Amino acid sequence: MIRVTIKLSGLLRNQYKSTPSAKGEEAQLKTGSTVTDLLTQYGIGPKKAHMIMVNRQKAELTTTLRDGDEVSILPLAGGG
Amino acid sequence: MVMRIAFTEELCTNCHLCSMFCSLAFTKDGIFEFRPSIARIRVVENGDDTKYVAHVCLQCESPACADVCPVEALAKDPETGLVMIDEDECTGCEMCIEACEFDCLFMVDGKAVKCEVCDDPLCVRACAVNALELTEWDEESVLEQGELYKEVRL
Amino acid sequence: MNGWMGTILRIELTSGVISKEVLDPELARDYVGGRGLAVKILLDELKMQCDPLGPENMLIFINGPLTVTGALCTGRYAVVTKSPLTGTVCSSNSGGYFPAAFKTAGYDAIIFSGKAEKPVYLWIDDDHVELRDASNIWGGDTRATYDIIRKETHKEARVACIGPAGENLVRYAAIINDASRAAARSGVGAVMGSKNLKAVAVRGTKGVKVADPEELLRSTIIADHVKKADLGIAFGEFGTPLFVDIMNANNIMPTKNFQEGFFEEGDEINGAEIIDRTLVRSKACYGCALNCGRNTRLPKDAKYQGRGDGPEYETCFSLGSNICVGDLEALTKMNYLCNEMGMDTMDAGTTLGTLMELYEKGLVKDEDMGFPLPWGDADNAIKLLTMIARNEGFGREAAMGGKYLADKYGAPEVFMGSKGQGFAGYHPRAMVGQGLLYATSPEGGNHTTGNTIQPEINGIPGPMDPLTSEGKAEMVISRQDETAFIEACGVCVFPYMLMEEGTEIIAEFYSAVVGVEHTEDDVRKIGERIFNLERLFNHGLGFTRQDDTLPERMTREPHTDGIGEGNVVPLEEMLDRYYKLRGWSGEGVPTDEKLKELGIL
Repeated sequence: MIRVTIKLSGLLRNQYKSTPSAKGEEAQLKTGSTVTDLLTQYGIGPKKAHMIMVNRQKAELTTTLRDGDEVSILPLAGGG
Repeated sequence: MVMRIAFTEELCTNCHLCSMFCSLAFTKDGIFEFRPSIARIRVVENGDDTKYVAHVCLQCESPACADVCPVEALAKDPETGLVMIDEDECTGCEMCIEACEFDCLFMVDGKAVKCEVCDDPLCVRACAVNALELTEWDEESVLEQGELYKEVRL
Repeated sequence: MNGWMGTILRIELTSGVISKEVLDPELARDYVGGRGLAVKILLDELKMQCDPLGPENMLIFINGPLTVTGALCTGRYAVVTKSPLTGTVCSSNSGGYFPAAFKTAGYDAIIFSGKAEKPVYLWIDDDHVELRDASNIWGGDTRATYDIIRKETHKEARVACIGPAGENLVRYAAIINDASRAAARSGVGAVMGSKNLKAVAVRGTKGVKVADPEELLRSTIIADHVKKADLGIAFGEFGTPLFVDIMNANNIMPTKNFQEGFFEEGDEINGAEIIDRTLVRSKACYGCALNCGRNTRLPKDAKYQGRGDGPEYETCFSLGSNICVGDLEALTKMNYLCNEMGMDTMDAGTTLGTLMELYEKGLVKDEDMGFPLPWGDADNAIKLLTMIARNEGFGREAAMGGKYLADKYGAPEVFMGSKGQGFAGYHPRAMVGQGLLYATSPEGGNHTTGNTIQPEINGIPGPMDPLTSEGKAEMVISRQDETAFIEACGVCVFPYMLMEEGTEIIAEFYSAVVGVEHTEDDVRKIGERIFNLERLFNHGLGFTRQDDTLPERMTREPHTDGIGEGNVVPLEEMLDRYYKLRGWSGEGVPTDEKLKELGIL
């Protein structure tokens, strides 16, 4: 088992809000799990994950996660 | 079945797209113009900017506007139940505007105008947050909307 | 005329003479409106060498042919003038409800020249135009001014005004409209203040003609499509502060005066926090389906009190991460203060960031300011912002801006801006195309002239490495030209810049409004013409390649921990390619050939 922190932003945060300001929630996964496995656990379709970051580096759906990782799922950006 | 345009205040964002597109529907003489000042639906903010209210005729059961009109230009259509204005008869005296406690009649180029519920209301199409709906008249929601209009006046 | 109202209003403030003139249809055809048409007017009429704060400077309020036409996000205006902050020509853009008002009053542009003998405000009620005495409101904050003027004129009047900052010629003073929206950058508020012009109030009842209304009805479908796409809905729900999360994750959130790209307390000042703690409701500008505006209020038990709109993303950076303030309430208070005093939150933040670094270095001391100013000291930042707006104590110096302070106190390298204007909330070391944008923007550190987020961070239309120079020159040119056209139309750039087919869509709307077919290439050409005109103007003022620059913190100091760690901005090589593709000389001057091609010469 591994423990990772998942942070959701934008609309996903509204759907899965678990902390008062969604600053991150702990998730437990089987060792060797990927980002996709984490999303599946949360019922988040892979297409909704526009931008995936693991430990502040760009990652993919196929990225393998390790104990203590911080995973951020972000929407598209705009500016102003 | 009487239809009307229902408005949900909580959803309104003060964008005025309803007024803009309503005005397009009332284009005259083959000119196409966005002229919000002729719209039959008008949006207003309350004093401390916490409410945005779109005033659009409630199609009252006993319309005060029709009661006071000295030339009977305003009347409830027996078939549709809608309160209609005969433009040719209207003299622009403004008594209907004073009589309406909901601020839903407006003066445009010397005559009174109001919402008469278009077949395909552009205001409903234009509203991007679904705050407007073409819907069947029902007393409860009309009263509620009326209270809102008395609270946040134009 | 379809789209345009056909009338330009001229106010000569020294004599008080008001006149109206017909809009030249050829100028409208070639330069459209907004900054395009306004810069053309300035180029033809302005005494270039004039003092930006002197009576010879001209101040132009200008909308566009697509304002109030049902095109997407249809209610913007620009304030165009010679900037007292940068010395360049500048264009500051704002939304809200005021732009729609002066369009429907019947005017494409309002041109102010001279200086009124005593404080005045302009009142426009369709054809009726008059200058009124403003001595009883001079000194007032922008909200009070808005309320009083509405009572004095018409309850439906929309008002654009300056606050104490503009009156006191703060170099980054803004013009605030509808009490909460801002034409903020480049010190346009100071120009207005220097003319003794307190406000412009308008009420309009006229109509905007369009050639093909069916096409414009399509905008309701497109708006629906944009909203349904996740970005559209997220934008409306969270506003621009949504981007705190994204910029922070990409190591682009400028922190500690651009020393770093990641702010530890980013989660405290993002869109979600605003929803949880201060949001009253979402709010839209006139004619906009995206409702990204934040109508907010500080909670009753908060340390600070107030209400208004914002903060926007740029403020979350400038008065948040940039100065290490991770407290949403303090940030919101500073935002309200800037709106009320009439100041650009962005350069207010750049100035504070510069000061905090100078203070850390021991170059500016407690005795100079009257109090300490370490990183993250929100209370003293609030104190200083008020002093700046009111021209008190050290505020007088700080009102001159970050570059002035950095130069005066012996560390010019700590000013994070170009051409004298502070950068926006994107750290170019992890987004190098944005660095090229900053360096080549007509008014310095501005990002709105062609924000590169879509290609560099979202990877639309195709993947792009934000850290290298590859493809950046082409991309920045494309963004700049598109944006110039969109802004000239008098609409908001957001939906067009966020949709892949944005330029195609605006070309369709433009064609539908004016009744003349314009392709995507046609509108890009107009955009290119506008951008080159601004370049020509600045060249005439003496700006050269030497001014298309970034501080060494960007080009030499390696980026900090996160994406792009170790990266720097390869500016010179991008600049070489950029000039070449633009058809400019190696020194960044538009060639005669290029100017002839664009019909400028």
